[in-house]
Amino acid sequence: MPPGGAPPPGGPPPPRGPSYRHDTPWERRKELGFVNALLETWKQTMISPDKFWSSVRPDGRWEDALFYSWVIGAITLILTLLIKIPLQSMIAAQVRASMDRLASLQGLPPEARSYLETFMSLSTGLKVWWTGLQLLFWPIGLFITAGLVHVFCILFGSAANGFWATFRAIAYAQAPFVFSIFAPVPCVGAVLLFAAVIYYFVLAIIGVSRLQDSSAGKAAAAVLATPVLLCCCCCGLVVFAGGVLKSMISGGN
Amino acid sequence: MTVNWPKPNRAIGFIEALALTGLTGLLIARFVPIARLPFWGCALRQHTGWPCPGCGLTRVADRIAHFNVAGAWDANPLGTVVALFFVLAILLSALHLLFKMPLPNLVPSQREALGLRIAVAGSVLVNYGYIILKTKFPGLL
Repeated sequence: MPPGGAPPPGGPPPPRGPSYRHDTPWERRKELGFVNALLETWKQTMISPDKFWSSVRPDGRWEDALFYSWVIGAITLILTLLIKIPLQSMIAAQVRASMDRLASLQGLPPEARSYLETFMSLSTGLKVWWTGLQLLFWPIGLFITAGLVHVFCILFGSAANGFWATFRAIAYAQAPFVFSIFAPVPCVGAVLLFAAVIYYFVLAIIGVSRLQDSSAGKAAAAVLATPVLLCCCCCGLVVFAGGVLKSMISGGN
Repeated sequence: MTVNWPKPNRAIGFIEALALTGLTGLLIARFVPIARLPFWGCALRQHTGWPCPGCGLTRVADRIAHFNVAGAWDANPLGTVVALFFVLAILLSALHLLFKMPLPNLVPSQREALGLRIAVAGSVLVNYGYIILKTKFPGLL
Protein backbone atom coordinates (compact mmCIF):
# COMPACT_ATOMS: atom_id res chain seq x y z
CA MET A 1 0.00 0.00 0.00
CA PRO A 2 1.66 3.25 -1.04
CA PRO A 3 1.69 6.05 1.51
CA GLY A 4 -1.42 8.13 1.20
CA GLY A 5 -3.34 5.36 -0.52
CA ALA A 6 -6.83 4.31 0.49
CA PRO A 7 -7.25 1.46 2.96
CA PRO A 8 -8.13 -1.90 1.38
CA PRO A 9 -11.86 -2.56 0.97
CA GLY A 10 -13.37 -4.98 3.47
CA GLY A 11 -11.27 -6.81 6.03
CA PRO A 12 -10.16 -5.26 9.29
CA PRO A 13 -10.76 -1.57 10.00
CA PRO A 14 -8.10 0.72 8.60
CA PRO A 15 -5.20 1.31 10.96
CA ARG A 16 -4.64 4.84 12.19
CA GLY A 17 -1.55 6.73 11.33
CA PRO A 18 -0.16 9.30 8.99
CA SER A 19 0.47 6.84 6.16
CA TYR A 20 -3.27 6.47 5.53
CA ARG A 21 -4.03 10.14 5.81
CA HIS A 22 -4.37 12.36 2.81
CA ASP A 23 -6.31 15.36 1.59
CA THR A 24 -10.09 14.95 1.55
CA PRO A 25 -11.84 15.17 -1.84
CA TRP A 26 -12.91 18.68 -0.84
CA GLU A 27 -9.29 19.65 -0.30
CA ARG A 28 -8.57 18.38 -3.83
CA ARG A 29 -11.41 20.36 -5.36
CA LYS A 30 -9.10 22.08 -7.85
CA GLU A 31 -8.30 18.67 -9.26
CA LEU A 32 -11.80 17.09 -8.92
CA GLY A 33 -13.97 20.11 -9.55
CA PHE A 34 -16.04 22.02 -6.98
CA VAL A 35 -19.29 20.07 -7.22
CA ASN A 36 -17.67 16.63 -7.50
CA ALA A 37 -15.40 17.33 -4.54
CA LEU A 38 -18.33 18.55 -2.45
CA LEU A 39 -20.52 15.56 -3.31
CA GLU A 40 -17.71 13.05 -2.84
CA THR A 41 -16.76 14.46 0.58
CA TRP A 42 -20.40 14.57 1.67
CA LYS A 43 -20.98 11.01 0.44
CA GLN A 44 -17.89 9.63 2.16
CA THR A 45 -18.76 11.41 5.42
CA MET A 46 -22.32 10.12 5.40
CA ILE A 47 -21.89 6.60 4.03
CA SER A 48 -18.47 5.44 5.21
CA PRO A 49 -17.56 7.71 8.12
CA ASP A 50 -15.03 5.35 9.69
CA LYS A 51 -13.05 5.06 6.47
CA PHE A 52 -13.39 8.78 5.81
CA TRP A 53 -12.21 9.95 9.23
CA SER A 54 -9.31 7.50 9.24
CA SER A 55 -8.08 9.14 6.05
CA VAL A 56 -8.46 12.80 7.12
CA ARG A 57 -5.27 14.60 8.05
CA PRO A 58 -5.49 16.29 11.46
CA ASP A 59 -2.97 18.90 10.34
CA GLY A 60 -4.75 19.81 7.11
CA ARG A 61 -5.84 23.36 6.29
CA TRP A 62 -8.59 24.54 8.65
CA GLU A 63 -9.72 27.08 6.05
CA ASP A 64 -10.78 24.24 3.74
CA ALA A 65 -12.82 22.60 6.49
CA LEU A 66 -14.42 25.94 7.34
CA PHE A 67 -15.27 26.56 3.69
CA TYR A 68 -16.81 23.08 3.35
CA SER A 69 -18.93 23.61 6.42
CA TRP A 70 -20.01 27.03 5.17
CA VAL A 71 -21.03 25.62 1.80
CA ILE A 72 -23.04 22.89 3.56
CA GLY A 73 -24.58 25.60 5.73
CA ALA A 74 -25.43 27.77 2.73
CA ILE A 75 -27.08 24.87 0.88
CA THR A 76 -29.04 23.90 3.99
CA LEU A 77 -30.22 27.39 4.87
CA ILE A 78 -31.17 28.41 1.32
CA LEU A 79 -33.05 25.18 0.58
CA THR A 80 -34.77 25.39 3.97
CA LEU A 81 -35.91 28.90 3.10
CA LEU A 82 -37.20 27.74 -0.30
CA ILE A 83 -39.18 24.94 1.34
CA LYS A 84 -40.38 27.13 4.19
CA ILE A 85 -41.90 29.92 2.10
CA PRO A 86 -44.67 27.87 0.42
CA LEU A 87 -45.42 26.12 3.71
CA GLN A 88 -45.53 29.39 5.64
CA SER A 89 -49.29 29.61 6.08
CA MET A 90 -49.57 25.94 7.06
CA ILE A 91 -46.76 26.27 9.63
CA ALA A 92 -48.34 29.41 11.08
CA ALA A 93 -51.70 27.63 11.42
CA GLN A 94 -49.99 24.69 13.06
CA VAL A 95 -48.10 26.90 15.51
CA ARG A 96 -51.34 28.68 16.41
CA ALA A 97 -53.01 25.31 17.04
CA SER A 98 -50.08 24.27 19.21
CA MET A 99 -50.21 27.56 21.09
CA ASP A 100 -53.92 27.09 21.77
CA ARG A 101 -53.30 23.59 23.01
CA LEU A 102 -50.44 24.67 25.27
CA ALA A 103 -52.42 27.63 26.57
CA SER A 104 -55.39 25.37 27.30
CA LEU A 105 -53.07 23.18 29.37
CA GLN A 106 -51.92 26.34 31.19
CA GLY A 107 -48.38 25.47 30.20
CA LEU A 108 -47.63 28.60 28.24
CA PRO A 109 -47.62 32.13 29.61
CA PRO A 110 -49.34 34.68 27.34
CA GLU A 111 -46.08 36.64 26.87
CA ALA A 112 -44.35 33.53 25.58
CA ARG A 113 -47.23 32.92 23.20
CA SER A 114 -46.91 36.44 21.88
CA TYR A 115 -43.12 36.12 21.38
CA LEU A 116 -43.48 32.81 19.56
CA GLU A 117 -46.33 33.90 17.36
CA THR A 118 -44.37 36.98 16.29
CA PHE A 119 -41.28 34.89 15.54
CA MET A 120 -43.11 32.15 13.69
CA SER A 121 -45.17 34.49 11.55
CA LEU A 122 -42.21 36.41 10.10
CA SER A 123 -42.82 37.81 6.65
CA THR A 124 -40.95 36.35 3.68
CA GLY A 125 -38.63 39.37 3.60
CA LEU A 126 -37.74 38.91 7.24
CA LYS A 127 -37.24 35.19 6.69
CA VAL A 128 -34.74 35.97 3.91
CA TRP A 129 -32.99 38.46 6.16
CA TRP A 130 -32.91 35.93 9.02
CA THR A 131 -31.45 33.29 6.69
CA GLY A 132 -28.74 35.72 5.58
CA LEU A 133 -27.92 36.46 9.19
CA GLN A 134 -27.69 32.75 10.02
CA LEU A 135 -25.39 32.25 7.05
CA LEU A 136 -23.19 35.11 8.19
CA PHE A 137 -22.94 33.72 11.71
CA TRP A 138 -22.41 30.08 10.63
CA PRO A 139 -18.56 30.26 10.83
CA ILE A 140 -18.76 32.00 14.21
CA GLY A 141 -20.98 29.18 15.47
CA LEU A 142 -18.49 26.67 14.12
CA PHE A 143 -15.59 28.34 15.95
CA ILE A 144 -17.61 28.47 19.17
CA THR A 145 -18.64 24.81 18.92
CA ALA A 146 -15.09 23.68 18.12
CA GLY A 147 -13.70 25.83 20.95
CA LEU A 148 -16.08 24.35 23.51
CA VAL A 149 -15.55 20.79 22.29
CA HIS A 150 -11.78 21.30 22.42
CA VAL A 151 -11.97 22.52 26.03
CA PHE A 152 -13.53 19.17 26.90
CA CYS A 153 -11.04 17.36 24.65
CA ILE A 154 -8.28 18.85 26.82
CA LEU A 155 -10.10 17.90 30.02
CA PHE A 156 -10.73 14.33 28.87
CA GLY A 157 -7.24 13.88 27.43
CA SER A 158 -8.13 13.66 23.76
CA ALA A 159 -6.41 16.74 22.38
CA ALA A 160 -3.13 15.25 21.15
CA ASN A 161 -3.24 16.94 17.74
CA GLY A 162 -4.32 20.40 18.84
CA PHE A 163 -7.28 22.67 18.30
CA TRP A 164 -7.38 22.61 14.52
CA ALA A 165 -7.83 18.82 14.47
CA THR A 166 -10.96 19.27 16.61
CA PHE A 167 -12.07 22.13 14.38
CA ARG A 168 -11.68 20.02 11.24
CA ALA A 169 -13.61 17.16 12.85
CA ILE A 170 -16.50 19.44 13.81
CA ALA A 171 -16.52 21.17 10.41
CA TYR A 172 -16.60 17.98 8.34
CA ALA A 173 -19.21 16.49 10.70
CA GLN A 174 -21.76 19.12 9.61
CA ALA A 175 -22.75 16.98 6.60
CA PRO A 176 -26.01 15.53 8.06
CA PHE A 177 -27.45 19.00 8.56
CA VAL A 178 -28.37 18.98 4.88
CA PHE A 179 -31.35 16.83 5.92
CA SER A 180 -32.58 19.65 8.13
CA ILE A 181 -33.86 21.33 4.94
CA PHE A 182 -36.97 19.21 5.51
CA ALA A 183 -37.42 20.62 9.02
CA PRO A 184 -40.37 22.85 7.99
CA VAL A 185 -42.29 19.85 6.63
CA PRO A 186 -44.85 18.81 9.24
CA CYS A 187 -44.21 15.59 11.20
CA VAL A 188 -41.45 14.21 8.95
CA GLY A 189 -39.38 17.39 9.32
CA ALA A 190 -39.01 17.11 13.09
CA VAL A 191 -38.00 13.46 12.83
CA LEU A 192 -35.43 14.17 10.10
CA LEU A 193 -34.02 17.11 12.03
CA PHE A 194 -33.68 14.94 15.12
CA ALA A 195 -31.98 12.19 13.09
CA ALA A 196 -29.61 14.75 11.51
CA VAL A 197 -28.59 16.08 14.93
CA ILE A 198 -28.00 12.57 16.28
CA TYR A 199 -25.94 11.60 13.21
CA TYR A 200 -23.95 14.84 13.55
CA PHE A 201 -22.99 13.77 17.07
CA VAL A 202 -22.03 10.30 15.81
CA LEU A 203 -19.84 11.81 13.08
CA ALA A 204 -18.29 14.33 15.46
CA ILE A 205 -17.43 11.59 17.96
CA ILE A 206 -15.79 9.39 15.29
CA GLY A 207 -14.07 12.47 13.84
CA VAL A 208 -12.63 13.67 17.13
CA SER A 209 -11.61 10.13 18.02
CA ARG A 210 -9.73 9.64 14.73
CA LEU A 211 -8.25 13.12 14.31
CA GLN A 212 -7.12 13.36 17.92
CA ASP A 213 -5.91 9.74 17.99
CA SER A 214 -7.93 9.06 21.11
CA SER A 215 -10.41 6.44 22.26
CA ALA A 216 -14.06 6.63 21.24
CA GLY A 217 -15.08 6.95 24.88
CA LYS A 218 -12.96 10.05 25.48
CA ALA A 219 -14.12 11.57 22.20
CA ALA A 220 -17.75 10.87 23.07
CA ALA A 221 -17.33 12.48 26.47
CA ALA A 222 -15.72 15.55 24.90
CA VAL A 223 -18.35 15.96 22.18
CA LEU A 224 -21.37 15.26 24.38
CA ALA A 225 -20.22 17.39 27.32
CA THR A 226 -21.05 20.59 25.42
CA PRO A 227 -24.76 19.82 24.86
CA VAL A 228 -24.98 18.56 28.44
CA LEU A 229 -23.55 21.88 29.66
CA LEU A 230 -25.90 23.81 27.41
CA CYS A 231 -28.76 21.70 28.74
CA CYS A 232 -27.82 22.84 32.23
CA CYS A 233 -27.67 26.47 31.14
CA CYS A 234 -30.77 26.40 28.98
CA CYS A 235 -32.82 23.73 30.71
CA GLY A 236 -36.01 25.75 30.64
CA LEU A 237 -35.63 26.62 26.98
CA VAL A 238 -34.92 23.03 25.98
CA VAL A 239 -37.93 21.69 27.90
CA PHE A 240 -40.08 24.46 26.50
CA ALA A 241 -38.93 23.77 22.93
CA GLY A 242 -39.49 20.05 23.52
CA GLY A 243 -43.04 20.77 24.67
CA VAL A 244 -43.78 22.85 21.60
CA LEU A 245 -42.27 20.18 19.33
CA LYS A 246 -44.27 17.44 21.01
CA SER A 247 -47.40 19.47 20.67
CA MET A 248 -46.70 20.18 17.00
CA ILE A 249 -46.22 16.49 16.31
CA SER A 250 -49.10 15.12 18.32
CA GLY A 251 -51.65 17.87 18.54
CA GLY A 252 -51.03 20.14 15.64
CA ASN A 253 -52.27 17.74 13.02
CA MET B 1 5.21 21.81 32.18
CA THR B 2 6.87 22.71 28.88
CA VAL B 3 6.38 26.28 27.74
CA ASN B 4 7.07 27.18 24.11
CA TRP B 5 7.12 30.83 23.08
CA PRO B 6 6.46 31.31 19.37
CA LYS B 7 7.65 34.34 17.42
CA PRO B 8 5.33 37.38 17.37
CA ASN B 9 2.39 36.51 15.13
CA ARG B 10 -1.30 37.03 14.48
CA ALA B 11 -2.16 33.40 13.78
CA ILE B 12 -5.58 32.50 15.11
CA GLY B 13 -6.09 29.40 17.23
CA PHE B 14 -7.71 27.97 20.32
CA ILE B 15 -7.49 31.14 22.44
CA GLU B 16 -9.26 33.10 19.69
CA ALA B 17 -12.02 30.47 19.56
CA LEU B 18 -12.44 30.78 23.33
CA ALA B 19 -12.38 34.57 23.06
CA LEU B 20 -15.07 34.49 20.39
CA THR B 21 -17.17 32.17 22.55
CA GLY B 22 -16.77 34.42 25.58
CA LEU B 23 -17.40 37.60 23.63
CA THR B 24 -20.57 36.22 22.04
CA GLY B 25 -21.88 34.98 25.38
CA LEU B 26 -21.09 38.18 27.23
CA LEU B 27 -22.55 40.40 24.50
CA ILE B 28 -25.79 38.40 24.57
CA ALA B 29 -25.84 38.54 28.37
CA ARG B 30 -25.21 42.29 28.25
CA PHE B 31 -27.83 43.26 25.70
CA VAL B 32 -30.47 40.50 25.74
CA PRO B 33 -32.43 40.15 29.00
CA ILE B 34 -32.46 36.35 28.78
CA ALA B 35 -33.38 35.73 32.42
CA ARG B 36 -36.42 37.97 32.02
CA LEU B 37 -37.86 35.97 29.14
CA PRO B 38 -41.22 34.65 30.36
CA PHE B 39 -40.51 30.99 29.70
CA TRP B 40 -36.94 31.03 30.97
CA GLY B 41 -36.25 28.85 33.98
CA CYS B 42 -34.87 25.56 35.15
CA ALA B 43 -37.36 22.74 34.68
CA LEU B 44 -35.34 20.41 36.91
CA ARG B 45 -35.43 22.84 39.81
CA GLN B 46 -39.09 23.72 39.22
CA HIS B 47 -40.14 20.08 39.27
CA THR B 48 -37.78 18.56 41.85
CA GLY B 49 -36.66 21.53 43.92
CA TRP B 50 -33.04 20.44 43.41
CA PRO B 51 -30.58 22.53 41.40
CA CYS B 52 -28.44 21.16 38.59
CA PRO B 53 -24.63 21.70 38.58
CA GLY B 54 -25.10 24.57 36.12
CA CYS B 55 -27.59 26.42 38.31
CA GLY B 56 -26.88 30.14 38.19
CA LEU B 57 -24.79 30.18 35.00
CA THR B 58 -27.23 32.53 33.22
CA ARG B 59 -27.02 34.90 36.19
CA VAL B 60 -23.21 34.60 36.14
CA ALA B 61 -23.07 35.64 32.48
CA ASP B 62 -25.53 38.47 33.10
CA ARG B 63 -23.65 39.80 36.14
CA ILE B 64 -20.15 39.46 34.65
CA ALA B 65 -21.39 41.31 31.56
CA HIS B 66 -22.52 44.09 33.92
CA PHE B 67 -19.19 44.03 35.85
CA ASN B 68 -20.84 42.61 38.98
CA VAL B 69 -18.25 39.97 39.93
CA ALA B 70 -19.44 39.62 43.53
CA GLY B 71 -23.01 38.99 42.37
CA ALA B 72 -21.77 36.44 39.85
CA TRP B 73 -19.74 34.67 42.56
CA ASP B 74 -22.85 34.49 44.69
CA ALA B 75 -24.78 32.81 41.84
CA ASN B 76 -22.17 30.18 40.94
CA PRO B 77 -18.51 30.43 42.08
CA LEU B 78 -17.02 28.01 39.54
CA GLY B 79 -19.09 29.56 36.76
CA THR B 80 -17.61 32.94 37.73
CA VAL B 81 -14.06 31.57 37.51
CA VAL B 82 -14.83 30.13 34.06
CA ALA B 83 -16.43 33.40 32.93
CA LEU B 84 -13.34 35.31 34.10
CA PHE B 85 -11.17 32.87 32.11
CA PHE B 86 -13.26 33.76 29.07
CA VAL B 87 -12.67 37.46 29.80
CA LEU B 88 -8.93 36.73 30.06
CA ALA B 89 -9.10 34.90 26.71
CA ILE B 90 -10.76 37.97 25.15
CA LEU B 91 -8.02 40.27 26.47
CA LEU B 92 -5.18 37.96 25.43
CA SER B 93 -6.72 37.43 22.03
CA ALA B 94 -7.12 41.17 21.48
CA LEU B 95 -3.46 41.76 22.42
CA HIS B 96 -2.40 38.86 20.18
CA LEU B 97 -4.36 40.05 17.16
CA LEU B 98 -3.66 43.76 17.58
CA PHE B 99 -0.02 43.75 18.68
CA LYS B 100 1.18 40.31 17.54
CA MET B 101 1.75 39.37 21.17
CA PRO B 102 2.97 35.76 21.19
CA LEU B 103 0.84 33.36 23.21
CA PRO B 104 2.78 30.59 24.94
CA ASN B 105 2.07 27.00 24.07
CA LEU B 106 1.72 25.14 27.37
CA VAL B 107 2.29 21.39 27.32
CA PRO B 108 1.75 19.79 30.75
CA SER B 109 3.38 16.50 31.64
CA GLN B 110 1.11 13.46 32.00
CA ARG B 111 1.22 13.79 35.78
CA GLU B 112 0.34 17.50 35.63
CA ALA B 113 -2.48 16.84 33.17
CA LEU B 114 -3.91 14.18 35.47
CA GLY B 115 -3.61 16.55 38.43
CA LEU B 116 -5.40 19.25 36.44
CA ARG B 117 -8.25 16.89 35.56
CA ILE B 118 -8.62 15.79 39.17
CA ALA B 119 -8.63 19.45 40.27
CA VAL B 120 -11.34 20.30 37.71
CA ALA B 121 -13.49 17.32 38.72
CA GLY B 122 -13.02 18.20 42.40
CA SER B 123 -13.93 21.85 41.75
CA VAL B 124 -17.13 20.80 39.95
CA LEU B 125 -18.13 18.58 42.87
CA VAL B 126 -17.30 21.19 45.54
CA ASN B 127 -19.14 23.85 43.53
CA TYR B 128 -22.20 21.62 43.16
CA GLY B 129 -22.13 20.91 46.87
CA TYR B 130 -22.07 24.64 47.57
CA ILE B 131 -25.01 25.24 45.18
CA ILE B 132 -27.04 22.47 46.83
CA LEU B 133 -26.32 23.87 50.28
CA LYS B 134 -27.21 27.38 49.16
CA THR B 135 -30.44 26.30 47.49
CA LYS B 136 -31.73 23.59 49.81
CA PHE B 137 -30.11 24.41 53.15
CA PRO B 138 -29.34 28.14 53.13
CA GLY B 139 -29.32 28.19 56.93
CA LEU B 140 -26.14 26.12 56.98
CA LEU B 141 -24.13 28.76 55.14
